[in-house]
Amino acid sequence: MVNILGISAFYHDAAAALVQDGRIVAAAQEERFTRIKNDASMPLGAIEYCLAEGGIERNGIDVVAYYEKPLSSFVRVLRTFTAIGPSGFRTFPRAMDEMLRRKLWISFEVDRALKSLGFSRPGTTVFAEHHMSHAAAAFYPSPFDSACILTFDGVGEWATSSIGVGSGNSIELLEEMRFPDSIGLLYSAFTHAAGFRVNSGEYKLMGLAPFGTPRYRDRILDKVVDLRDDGSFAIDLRYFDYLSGRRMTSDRFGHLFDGPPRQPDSPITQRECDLARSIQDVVEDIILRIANHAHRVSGRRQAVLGGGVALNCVANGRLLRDGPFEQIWVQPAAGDAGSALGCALWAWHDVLGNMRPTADGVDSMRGALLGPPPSTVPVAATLSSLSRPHEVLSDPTQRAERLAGLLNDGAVIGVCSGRMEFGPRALGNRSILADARSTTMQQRLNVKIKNRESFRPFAPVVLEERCAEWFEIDGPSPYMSFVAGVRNSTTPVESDPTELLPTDPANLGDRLGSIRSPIPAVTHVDGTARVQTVDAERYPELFRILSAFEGLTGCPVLVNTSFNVRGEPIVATFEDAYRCFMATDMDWLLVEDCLLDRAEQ
Amino acid sequence: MLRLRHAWRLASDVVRYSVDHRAWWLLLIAPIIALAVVMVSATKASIPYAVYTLF
Repeated sequence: MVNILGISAFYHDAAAALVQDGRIVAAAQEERFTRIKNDASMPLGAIEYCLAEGGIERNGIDVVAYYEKPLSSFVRVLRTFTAIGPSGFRTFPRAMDEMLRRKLWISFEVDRALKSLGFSRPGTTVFAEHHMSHAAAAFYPSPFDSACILTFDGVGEWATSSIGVGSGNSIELLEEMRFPDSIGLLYSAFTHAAGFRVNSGEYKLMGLAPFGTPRYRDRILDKVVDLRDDGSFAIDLRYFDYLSGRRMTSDRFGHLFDGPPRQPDSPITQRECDLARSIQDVVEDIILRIANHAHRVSGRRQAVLGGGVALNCVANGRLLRDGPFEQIWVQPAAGDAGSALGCALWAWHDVLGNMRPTADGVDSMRGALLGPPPSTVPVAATLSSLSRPHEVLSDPTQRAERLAGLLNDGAVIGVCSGRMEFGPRALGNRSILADARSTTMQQRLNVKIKNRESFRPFAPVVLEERCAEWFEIDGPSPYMSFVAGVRNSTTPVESDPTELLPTDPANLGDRLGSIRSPIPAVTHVDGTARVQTVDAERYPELFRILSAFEGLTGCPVLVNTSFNVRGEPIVATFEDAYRCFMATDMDWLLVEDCLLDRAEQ
Repeated sequence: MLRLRHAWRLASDVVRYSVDHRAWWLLLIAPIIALAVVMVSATKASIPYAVYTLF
């Protein structure tokens, strides 16, 4: 058996993945083990878990694959600093320190990490190109035998976006867009301008966009981005400062867009909403043009998406509706964490030349449930030894009916069962569930449980076979990759955009509360939702709960939000879940087959 | 010892990259980089500023 360990580290969201004879066995992000959000350090916890899950012995690691080529990145950094001259004086030492101390020494760091965990050096260490890692993560596990590959992110070595073709076990990258012209960095710059953290606040900007009007769209296209027909573009770098690494935007950017970046704790105004909507529109246009061009170049009817920008499920939804491809599959861990898996698969297929089994229309991500279970010992015994009152519900059907009853009564339930999800989305095993029909649930979850901004939407989970009755989407969406309209919802009548001033308060909570929908807790202000479809094969526990809830209420939809609070990673273990449960206003906690009532704790 | 072995690998990677990409300038600054690695390890602070002036 050939064991390949994939690693991504030292930028953001470090992760490890294990591929055995081409089969995806385990994958996890380091943040879940260290409890540091987006932890970039060498993923010791994730590596240790993956090797244990695969039953790897001391000499058992054949190949270690790393997700980018550090030397190419180093050359890019050197050339960038050479190009910008004196303005990089302050940040150059920090960049060099990081490069010279750690990033150029990856094989050394890997050997040292494995040694500290009691493993021998791997037979080989190989380095994939960053966008090849994204492309491999998107194509190899996809349900297609052949597909057009689109990757979009901030920056790899030099590439920022790429177009390729995957067929059988081979991937060919045909075209690429290069640094500093980058969709990811463009979106991150606007994330910074709207007062959110770069590399983690992009999804907040996406959620804010429907509250705005595209007031700045023309300004972006006239002054900042020179967009061509094939989707390639050139950025006017006078509006940005990310080359030097000091900050994302320049003073000129502030002059063009009515002010400096919002301070993180200051109120959100209409300007931030309009910035969000404008850049979202521009990014969607760019992606659509690239997709049309890629469709012509590749001649494929299916597409797979990878890279951090592929987590923009609003853009994915538009691509699915308005784009040229008949089917689209998005890697659920599309960001850099997923690259750990991508480079491992690349090593198996491309470096070692192994064939890829026929896809048969089913992806090989195994529901993205590739992480560890909540506990390695029986949870009931642990709870008893700690004298925590709990109810054991061994029968899965009875358990589902009990939970459905509680949800129908308005309870909020934390679920920590089975293997943890790989990627940023909680898909039912580390989730908080609630009744989507409640008009007050969205506010309650945001403010009292998740402790996060009031405007943030929640995602629905729906039985796959009932999805089309509730949402305007064709086909399954098991990984929350697409946003689609909610049927029978009406959006509030917007004010005339010309009447709103950039400095006007956004009143996000009021506007979200005015939505009319049969499932208001999961309907965003524009009448859309980020849909997760649930089938019995991938998510049997969640399928049973949804079925029982539908039997009770006639509604096959629930709220599904990640089991964490603001600023923390999603829970991994039973202990993490219990701590989070007790620190919030959640009503019930399900850990494997044990149900805990908060009132009794 | 482990780091020394990897230093040799890194040096050969730099040479291979320079040849593959015709980035001969990288070969010229490689000794400076090597020196910087040593000095960064030794001082951890001010040397990078001096190195930057070379660019």
